[in-house]
Amino acid sequence: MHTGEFLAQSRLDAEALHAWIEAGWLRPGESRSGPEFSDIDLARARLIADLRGDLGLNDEAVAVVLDLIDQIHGLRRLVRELLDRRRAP
Amino acid sequence: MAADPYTVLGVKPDASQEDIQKAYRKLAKKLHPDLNPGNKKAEEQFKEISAAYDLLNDPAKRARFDRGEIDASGQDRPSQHFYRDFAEGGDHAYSSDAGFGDFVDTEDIISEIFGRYARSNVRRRGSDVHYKLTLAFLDAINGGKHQVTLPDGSSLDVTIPPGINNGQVLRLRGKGRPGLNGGPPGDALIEIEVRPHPVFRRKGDDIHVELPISLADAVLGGKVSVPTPGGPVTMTVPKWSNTGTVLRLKGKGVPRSGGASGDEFVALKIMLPDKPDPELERLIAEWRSAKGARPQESVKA
Repeated sequence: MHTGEFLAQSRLDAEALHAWIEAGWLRPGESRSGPEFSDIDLARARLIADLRGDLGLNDEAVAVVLDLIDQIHGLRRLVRELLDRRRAP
Repeated sequence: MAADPYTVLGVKPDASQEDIQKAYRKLAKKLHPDLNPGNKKAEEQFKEISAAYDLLNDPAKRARFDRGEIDASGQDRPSQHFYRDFAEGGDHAYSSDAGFGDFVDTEDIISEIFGRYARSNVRRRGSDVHYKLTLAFLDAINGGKHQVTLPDGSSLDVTIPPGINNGQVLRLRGKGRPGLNGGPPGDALIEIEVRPHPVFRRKGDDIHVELPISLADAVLGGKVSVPTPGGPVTMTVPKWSNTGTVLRLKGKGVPRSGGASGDEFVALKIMLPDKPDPELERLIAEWRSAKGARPQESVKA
């Protein structure tokens, strides 16, 4: 989806979206007509909003938490891959 | 029938709004599904506390609930997908190998697992650069521009704020390593080390100096030149100033942000002339036989 629809579904304002992309927290794809967002970007925007709002984290903390969450997901994928290989080499 | 929201959040029915928010935050930090990627039940538990919070966080709704006008059901937030539901699925821009990059060095496993978003494709923020800058005491007090040479050979212009302290770290945004694939650059972190000064001592925003004065100035008073971080200053020594007297030069200390400055404190120390002076000895000998008091008499063991 394009920026307009993304802003509507995520209920973010354009300034926040720009800041989060600048900070590297959101990484939409690029297309000729501007940034292209997918469902994972929407879910990630929701996560960032939860961290800042419900959990009350400041920006420095959000950056650290996102990085750690990404590392965890990378690790989980690796673990699942290795377990799958063990079961069916 | 939904559980009692107060019980769900673990607060008493007379809890303040602040207590309710604190209790929710504490539980949300523990139960948010994205902070518990391996716990399938987290979504249900988080839903329950969020529903309770939505009800109690709004004072009007809470009052209606307390009066029995509404019940706890129907507060559910719209069903949502959490980030964790997408993160391990296919290949995506947030794939990270940073958690195991040191174990698994072979590119093949990385690209097998992460597909086309293999390490070389992921957009990533550049790493921070660390540097230590040693400043002369007065350069730290007065501030100014300095050029720093980084480990990779490039140089950086750094503006030192006046009054910077030993150990402070300056963060220069965007001056670190460039990002990968269009990611933002990291920062340059400059740790400041301040060399001590032979004359000035810093305590907070104040400067302390020990000033030797002559016997004549101590007894009769007089004008003396005192070094300060901003240059020498003329000061009046009152007559009859003993060793240990501390005089204050207001505003001659360390500059503070906002325009004001700390003070300089000058501790006086009476010094006899370097070489013995026969005429002075004769005068004092006459004076001693006439007067005779010895300060040691006031110090009894």
